[in-house]
Amino acid sequence: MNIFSLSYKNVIARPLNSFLSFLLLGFGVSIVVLILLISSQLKSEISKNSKGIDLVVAAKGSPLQIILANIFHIDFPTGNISLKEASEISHNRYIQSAIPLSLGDSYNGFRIVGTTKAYGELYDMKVSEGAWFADHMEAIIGAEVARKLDLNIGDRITSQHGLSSDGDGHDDNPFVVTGIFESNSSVVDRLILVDLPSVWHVHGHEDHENDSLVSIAHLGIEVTREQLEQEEITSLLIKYRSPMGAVTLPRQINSNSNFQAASPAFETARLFNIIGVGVKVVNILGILIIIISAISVFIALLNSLKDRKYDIAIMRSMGASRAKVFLLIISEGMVISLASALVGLMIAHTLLFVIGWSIDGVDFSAWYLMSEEFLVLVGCLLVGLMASIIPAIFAYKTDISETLSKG
Amino acid sequence: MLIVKDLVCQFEGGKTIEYPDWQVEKDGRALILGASGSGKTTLLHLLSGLKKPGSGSVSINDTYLNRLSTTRLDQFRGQNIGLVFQKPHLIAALTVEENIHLAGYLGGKKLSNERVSQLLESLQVSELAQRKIHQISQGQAQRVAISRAVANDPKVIFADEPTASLDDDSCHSVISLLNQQAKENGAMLIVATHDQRVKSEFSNHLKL
Repeated sequence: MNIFSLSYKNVIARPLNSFLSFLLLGFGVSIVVLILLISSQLKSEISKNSKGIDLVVAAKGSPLQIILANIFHIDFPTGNISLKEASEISHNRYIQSAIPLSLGDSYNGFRIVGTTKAYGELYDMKVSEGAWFADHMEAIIGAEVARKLDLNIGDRITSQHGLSSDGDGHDDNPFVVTGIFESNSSVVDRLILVDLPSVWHVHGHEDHENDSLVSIAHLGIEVTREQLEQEEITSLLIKYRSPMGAVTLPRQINSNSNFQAASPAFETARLFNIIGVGVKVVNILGILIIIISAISVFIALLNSLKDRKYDIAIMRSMGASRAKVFLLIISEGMVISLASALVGLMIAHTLLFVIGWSIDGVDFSAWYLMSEEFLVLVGCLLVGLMASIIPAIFAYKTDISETLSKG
Repeated sequence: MLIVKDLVCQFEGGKTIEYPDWQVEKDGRALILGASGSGKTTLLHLLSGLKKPGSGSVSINDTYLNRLSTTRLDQFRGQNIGLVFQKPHLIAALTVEENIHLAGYLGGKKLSNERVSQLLESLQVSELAQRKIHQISQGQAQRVAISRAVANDPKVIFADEPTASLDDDSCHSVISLLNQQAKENGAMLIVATHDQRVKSEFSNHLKL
């Protein structure tokens, strides 16, 4: 027998009395923690996918759209840019590397990206089966694509025009799967990578096999002179040579060309500012519920104290000091708040797991604890403490003799 | 030995009760008699340190209660005084057994399981050990309350109207249980009552 087990038994003995407080506090905690988990994981997801990309150059349009389409592959591209002009820009002395992307086709909802091996290296992709595409009309696919569509090496896939699964098919030009990546939770898990000329080929542009090839070293591709003049790509993912690039390059591109330069860091920060308002509102809602639950804990304790005034006097008559009685009530408040906080944490993590499992393209790791969650836990205990202080003072001040003679 | 000297109780509103000087031997049996409202319960609370007197002194085995701090008084009460009330007032959230253990915990003495079962045995309620309080009868609860009062080997057992709501049979059995427990524990027994049935069982009477 000790104070903790005594207060635990007191709380358990009045389940209905404590239930509302338990429910409210648990609910408030799960909202706050869920928001915390989602926003932190979203942030890490975003920074992981935009790592190593300082600037995206694409056709004129919304910079945010450019980032969403070319880095996260969730929005539509702003249009195309000419390969010739793109290759000229990539010569800029502030640019260390530039990766060309050509978007626009998909297969069963998964995007087909015409690019180079450099794109896979950007995300440290490792090949788990087969090999990289070595020739035109070959494809290497992300782990999630392979799993969801049950694709294996040697399978043929027919690209569809557009990014939704009901686009027109390019039936006469199938790709052959030559490789599958290991999963590393990056955006590439959901992509199908092919080489640039394949994308042009699929769209009916003629190949001129016997033309002499021109190497565009900065982009890591070789194309015919005709392709260089005529073909288009969607964007360039650029890495600066020096921090000076960040100062001059975007302005230079935006004012002197038909291109739009968008910075992932800047645009995602802007995106978070927009989302941030909603996050704040939900967070305030969660904290409001926690405060209401504190009031409910307070009322529950005060109410139970009315019935138990005699119990407290009896305990005093058996030798309990005033401090002990005070601690008993405080610890009852703590028992309620600790239990609800733990349940709230569990609910939040379970919800996160369900969200990650039910929504495609979201990869949340639901079962790890953030240090902020301990702060929430401590905050809950503080709430329990605050709510139980006044009832505990009442218990402390109980006049034993008077209470007992009224019994 | 319990000694009462010049004891005056002061109530809010100025009303006072003066109590006659009185003493009870170390293992004595005494009765405080008086009609309702004559101040029996108040005297019992003064004697057991639940209430501080306006003036005068109460000493139990040479300890003057009025000289102890509140915390020391709580401690003293837990270790030396057992209280039985008119109603048993056990803690409803706990089982019978846990109620006895609670007395040990609050009095600062950890009771062994053997001690608890022996206590319940001697009051013939050992089969109720695991029951919740609402699952036992009023008479059984009163026995549990008595075993709770003697759990810490008190030097003095105070009982406030322990028989008031009981029929003749239960009345006698409660008094004999109190007597027997006091004797087994070598404790003084002081009963406050207006119950005339109890009168013949005690020789030392204090009439208020």
